[in-house]
Amino acid sequence: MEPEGHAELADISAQGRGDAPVEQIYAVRFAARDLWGEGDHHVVLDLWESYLEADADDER
Amino acid sequence: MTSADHHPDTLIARRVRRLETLLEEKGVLSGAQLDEIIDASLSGASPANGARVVARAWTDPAYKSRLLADGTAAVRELGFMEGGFQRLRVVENTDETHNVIVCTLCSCYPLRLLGPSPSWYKSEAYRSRVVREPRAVLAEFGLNLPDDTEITVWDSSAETRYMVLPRRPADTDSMSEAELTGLVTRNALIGTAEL
Repeated sequence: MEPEGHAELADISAQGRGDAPVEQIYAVRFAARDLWGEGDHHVVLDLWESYLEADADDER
Repeated sequence: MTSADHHPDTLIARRVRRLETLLEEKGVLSGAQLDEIIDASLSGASPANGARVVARAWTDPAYKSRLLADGTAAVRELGFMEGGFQRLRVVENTDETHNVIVCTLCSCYPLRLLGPSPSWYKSEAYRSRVVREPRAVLAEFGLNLPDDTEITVWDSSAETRYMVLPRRPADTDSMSEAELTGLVTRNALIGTAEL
């Protein structure tokens, strides 16, 4: 996971609303096997911070 | 990719044309004005720009480092994407890794560096399949990668736009930067071809 700068949350700005919060975006790297159950490649998605949730294993 | 892949675009194209007609009928915008706006937004948008960036990176290691660290700033050094609000990230192909770009949501990509996107890039087939089975899709483009080449698919799902830095072809040491520029193709900048 790598930070990719800040931008307005598109879910809201795409509706033409002016109150979209500006959030950090992260490039998140997924193993194809975790997404599809098969494949040996990786897929990187750019995700706004509010799309992500904390990993329970990391909450110590 | 067959013509059937473009059927979902037909409805939107019809809607756009209808909207265009309404704008003209109501005197909001003339067809000529619209053409002017489209020309302005596409002026200077060409894969020749991306090719220049790649050739500079191949011949200038310091530039290559800057390009990989901050694509937006590095292409601005060459006068590209001035004032563009989107981030550019350049991903490098190596002997071990291959990168390919997609926009699963629609057709985002760095237009000014790559020119207008090819119709297959916007097709549902490419967008849905390249994230799932890139090796098979690349093979259909005539690109057969070794089994041990690691493939990364970059989905332009937010505000970052991606461009691939292809591997420099062998036996090009004596070529000038201008000659190297001529070798780089749009598909190599997307990652659906090697050079």
